Amino acid sequence: MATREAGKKMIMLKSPDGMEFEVEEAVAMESQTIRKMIEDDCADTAILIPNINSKILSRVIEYCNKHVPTTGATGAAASDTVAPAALAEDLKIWDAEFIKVNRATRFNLIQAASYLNIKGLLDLTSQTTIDTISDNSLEEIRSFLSTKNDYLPEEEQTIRRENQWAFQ
Amino acid sequence: MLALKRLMNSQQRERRRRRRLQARDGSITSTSKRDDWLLCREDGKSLLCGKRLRDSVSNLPQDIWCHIHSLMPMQDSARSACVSHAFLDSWRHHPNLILNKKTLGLEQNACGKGDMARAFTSKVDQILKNHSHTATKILKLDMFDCHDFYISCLNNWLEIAITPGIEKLVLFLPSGYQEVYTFPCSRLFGQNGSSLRYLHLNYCTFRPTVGFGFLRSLTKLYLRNVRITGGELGCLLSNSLALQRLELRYCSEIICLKIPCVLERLSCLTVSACNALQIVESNAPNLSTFNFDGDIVQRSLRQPLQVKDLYMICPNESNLLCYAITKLPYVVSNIEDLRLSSISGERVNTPMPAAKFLHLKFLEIYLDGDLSPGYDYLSLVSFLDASPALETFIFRVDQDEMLFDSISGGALQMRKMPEHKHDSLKNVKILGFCSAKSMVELTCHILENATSLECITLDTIYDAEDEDFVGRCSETSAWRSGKCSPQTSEMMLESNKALIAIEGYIVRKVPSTVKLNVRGACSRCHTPELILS
Repeated sequence: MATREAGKKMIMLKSPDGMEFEVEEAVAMESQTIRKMIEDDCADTAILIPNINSKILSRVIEYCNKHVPTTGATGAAASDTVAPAALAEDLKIWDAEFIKVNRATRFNLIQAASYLNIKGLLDLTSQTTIDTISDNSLEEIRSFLSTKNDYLPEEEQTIRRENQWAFQ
Repeated sequence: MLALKRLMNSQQRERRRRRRLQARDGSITSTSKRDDWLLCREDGKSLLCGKRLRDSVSNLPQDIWCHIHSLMPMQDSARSACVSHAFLDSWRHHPNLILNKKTLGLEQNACGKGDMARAFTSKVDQILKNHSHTATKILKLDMFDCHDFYISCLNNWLEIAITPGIEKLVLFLPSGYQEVYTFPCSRLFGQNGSSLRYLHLNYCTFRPTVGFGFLRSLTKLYLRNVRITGGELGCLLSNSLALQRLELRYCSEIICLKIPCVLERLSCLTVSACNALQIVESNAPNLSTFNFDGDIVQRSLRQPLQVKDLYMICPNESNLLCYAITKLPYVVSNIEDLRLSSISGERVNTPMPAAKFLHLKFLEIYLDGDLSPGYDYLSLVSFLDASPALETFIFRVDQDEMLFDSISGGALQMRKMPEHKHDSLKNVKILGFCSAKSMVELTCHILENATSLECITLDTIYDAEDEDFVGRCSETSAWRSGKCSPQTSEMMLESNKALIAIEGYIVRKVPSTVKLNVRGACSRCHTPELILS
């Protein structure tokens, strides 16, 4: 399934809902999980990515396309003439736009990033959740993350006492 | 190979599992072809396995929550433990423990020293006991203000935290604890020490001996106020082959410091205020930066060092410049970047060089002018003569009173050294430029003999806080407004004299190709009243 286009090796990624994505090997290798398969010569054929549907997988590929080192990147990435600082700033703005998604999509992206081992994407997608936890009260955290307080009253009191220092 | 095998095995397991699934559901026949490989983690755990935990907190598996918590500040993670059991579990798996007064919320408490130590101890004790099943990656324990803690407690904490997987260990004990506390070296034996990348100990005794395990990941080692002998340090170093940076400060038991040749990655060495030190020898082939702060510098650096970047300060002995020009070309013959701090001053003028610094490109000299009465600034030409490749020369003179004969006192004969040429010199800065006759002579000498000179800066104020040499806050936006160092009235007067000397003796000698920057007092920080007083 792997083909060559203009000297660039291509890799076929398949989502469980049957969609196929042909991506450059360099882009696919932004995922350490896929990189390992390619380096171990286990990826000369199509790779099925379980549990990541086509909508999320296409966003992941979009991210990798943008973040792949400039040489050999397609379209979106900036050329060599752009200064590294400007490039970093451009990426930061792009990332901020990229992550403007609803919570369900964000959580799916976190899982995909964790599963495919894409550190940059995992850090980016985790950060919004970290900010939510850092900036809000316990009740607000529960409400933002749709989670329930599953402590018994006496349990909660003990935990609160134990971690009182962290509220100061 | 092992990793590959694990991966292949996991893939085989996964294929078997999928075949079983397909047998149950005949519809997926096409995927049974060999060209469809199912991705799976090395540990064989796919996200399908994660589903079990999905309902824990809003649809994310617990291992991902643990990862998210590990990226969070420790306090936020601990606080959020009150949200739910899943969050508590994530907090108890938080791998980075930064334990100090601030992170434990003890800074505001106006309690006595004993209370502080008790409160600190009980909190740390509780946190570490609750983390006893977690592989800690980072432990930073700052107990600087906690006098009178129980040493047995500390040993228990280290036992909990130093386990296989620890990457960074920072231990700051109260001052003086190097006399009473010995770091348990045995904790770093075997697997525990093999993942350690960063070790920083302050105020303790550390006695690694022969047989001390390999710290094969250790890249940075900082020892401050640590009782360790040269021999013990040698044991540690010869087992730390990945070491890149070594810093020793106030380690007063080291007499002989020998860096073995097996430390091939060591690039930066700092040795400071190790008062018993008599010999420094390095056989590390790639050591490029050496920062040396010591009093017996003249005796201790005997062996040639292959460093490219040397900073040297000699706090209690004068004549560092004299030593540097006569001895250093033999010790550091490949030096490219040299910074010398003569903070005890020069009692003799700088002699002619014995040999050359053939590769020196950057030279910075600091001189305490108050401790160098009568020093002939023109004798610094020796350094320019010794450095044919020198491109940048920065000379800083710090003085509170003017102990030199000012050129404005009378029309004395100016000395000239026309046979000297400094062809590579492009950039010169003299900070603390004064009207001393020999200073004017040095400047004129540079203007007449540095044929490639592009820029010369003469700053008539010495500002110790201005580390980047940007000048007065009233003249540049690079410097915080109102932050120029105060000056004595004598030096403010001297600044004016220096400006007059520049006008009278120097300006006319500046070739048209050279940019002259002259700096005076700050119009904001150095008020005219002070200058006149």
